[in-house]
Amino acid sequence: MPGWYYDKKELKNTPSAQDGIDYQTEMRYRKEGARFIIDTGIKMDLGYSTSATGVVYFHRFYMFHSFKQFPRYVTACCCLFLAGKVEETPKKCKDIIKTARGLLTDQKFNTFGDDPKEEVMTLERILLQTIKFDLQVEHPYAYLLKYAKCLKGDKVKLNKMVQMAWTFVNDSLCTTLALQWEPEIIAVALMYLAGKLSQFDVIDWTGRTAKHLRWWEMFVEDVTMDLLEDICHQVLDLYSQTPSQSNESPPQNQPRLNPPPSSSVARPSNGQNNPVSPDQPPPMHSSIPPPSDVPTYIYGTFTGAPPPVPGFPGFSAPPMSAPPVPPHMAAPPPGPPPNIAAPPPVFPFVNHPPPFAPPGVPPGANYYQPPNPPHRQFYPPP
Amino acid sequence: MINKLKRYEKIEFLGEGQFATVYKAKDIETDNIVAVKKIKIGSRQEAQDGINRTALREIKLLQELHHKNLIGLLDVFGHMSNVSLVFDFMDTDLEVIIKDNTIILTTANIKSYILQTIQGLEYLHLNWMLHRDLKPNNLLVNAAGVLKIGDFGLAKLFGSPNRINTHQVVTRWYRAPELLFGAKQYSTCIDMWAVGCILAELLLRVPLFPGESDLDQLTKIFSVFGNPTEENWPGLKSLSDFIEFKPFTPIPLKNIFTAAGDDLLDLLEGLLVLNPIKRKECTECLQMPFFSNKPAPTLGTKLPLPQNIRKTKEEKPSLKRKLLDSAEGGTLSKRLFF
Repeated sequence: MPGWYYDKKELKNTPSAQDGIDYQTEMRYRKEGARFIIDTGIKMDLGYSTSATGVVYFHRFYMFHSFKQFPRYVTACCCLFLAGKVEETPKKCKDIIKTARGLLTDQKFNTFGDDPKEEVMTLERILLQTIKFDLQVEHPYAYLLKYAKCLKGDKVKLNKMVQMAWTFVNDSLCTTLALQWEPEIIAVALMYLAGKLSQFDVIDWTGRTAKHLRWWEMFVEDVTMDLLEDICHQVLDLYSQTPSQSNESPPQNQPRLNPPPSSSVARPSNGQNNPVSPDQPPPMHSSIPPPSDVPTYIYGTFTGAPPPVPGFPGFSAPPMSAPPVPPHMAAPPPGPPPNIAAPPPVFPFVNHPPPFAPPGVPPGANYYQPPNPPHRQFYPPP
Repeated sequence: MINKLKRYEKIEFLGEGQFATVYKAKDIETDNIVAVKKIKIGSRQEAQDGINRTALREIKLLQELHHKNLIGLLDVFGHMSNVSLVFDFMDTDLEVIIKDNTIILTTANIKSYILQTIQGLEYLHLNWMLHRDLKPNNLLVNAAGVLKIGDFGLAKLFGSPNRINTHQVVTRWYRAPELLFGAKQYSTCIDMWAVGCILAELLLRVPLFPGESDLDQLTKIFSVFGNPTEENWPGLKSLSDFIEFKPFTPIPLKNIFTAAGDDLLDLLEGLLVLNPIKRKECTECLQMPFFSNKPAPTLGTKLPLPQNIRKTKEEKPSLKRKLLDSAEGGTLSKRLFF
């Protein structure tokens, strides 16, 4: 199997970088492509796993090709098209293009050429080869739910924490985290972040043993606080990017629909400028807004907060990893399928897998908010 | 990247399906004989939505599955507009073996085939996967007598209780009664029914239920087992395509399979149960007396094979030597440099 994880140095030396695209710009292209996939997915009623798979294909694709050679919105459509087939939620190529047409400006849509469908179909073969036919992708969502089931504490707070972490996972798709860390680690880091922000203290958890200092040591080994902080910072950086200064040097030099958050923040994204030792409280401690001040979706509205989940009565349901016995089945096989992405979570999101957008908020409209003031507080622009 | 097209040297054309053509080829890196399945991506009407989902399913699922009784996906590569899948080469399949009347299938032989089938299927089911197209034609056998389940074009993950599946799966003769009644939520039991039909076919040497239509298929099934009732199959009448059939009197299985022993009949009766919930699962089947009783399953190399395969097997060593000779040590000298 090809290795799909890269270190920071490799992420700065991508084909696009070698093609003269600077790092900040590439990160912006990646973010825009990812967001576009998510938006298109929402518009077409595709599940979160299809969109997430498409985004991961997108990020992997540009580890082998330059943004100058392959226009990002065509690639994005192609990734969603393939992900739809892989995740058994197929959409017709022409319908994806139709939806894309509605989401993009004329100039952006021009990159699709005279025959958009043919453009996407031709790219599919290149995409398949580029991702080395490695179609099955795991996402942090399933781990998030699995881990949450083990945590003990106030159910309301836990519920809130899980929702917030879910949002952070959504937003993390707009970063290159999926190219850096396994989904398990991303899930742990973003639950840690959500826990801090929602003031959910994990005091105890199921399966705790004497050697465990932290709950996540049950699931992942050798995860340092520095690493967790680094992952959190990469997501939080999304919110601190201001939409004002977008000095572009893109191959497709066009005006934009919505002013996108620019990536001109000087602070390196990995948070190495303010290292935090495990003994010290992480910086976000100091500025956690009191819970009463937290408006409904104050956290992470970058890709929209998950809806408040109505049926989330604690975590007493069967574990996520072992779906309920399907009908017509005499003896369920024990345990989760190894290596194979677990079947879509049936609990707690049994009726409505959390979409990327909060309910009632039409995608597109009022959707990509500029960063929220509390987040700005944490990371003042230089 | 090495040119994968050159890596697999075409030996002969093996067959053509709806979505693919299959070639026998030699992997020049390992000298192994492989089967290359070239997916058609034509400009035809049906290919309008890019690479077909059947091929994607095979790639996606087989990359994660590794079991001696499941076909191995060795490689996938693309060339120009084509996508090719490289599989273990398999000499024959159960359909050919069943139809070859020069082959005698003893209880030990049948035990070996069905044991390997259920072992492969058990692994598949433990990994939350349904095959959905089991039939003799998809149970591949190589010259070493290893049986591997092939063709994962209809395979699918299961487990979500409210997932709606299509009932238009499985070749009709091997299709379980709940599918014929239009069940859209089903599980591993549909594969178990197919295994029962295959076991019966190994004994009879003809299909047990060769239905000519979906209704005829149910008629043939009920003419053996009698009509299902709401008592022995609760929920039966709520299936979307349910209809009443004229009453049939069940026939005892031992009147049909006169040569089969009691332990074999027990297995057959465990598999061919109308009510899907009562049907035996792989793991239960493997614990049945049939598999621990004598005779022991025939060892792979002792299993019968169609005539033409025996021959090529004997020819193989000399063929290999010839190929090496013709390479004039080119590969040899290369290796010496290291």
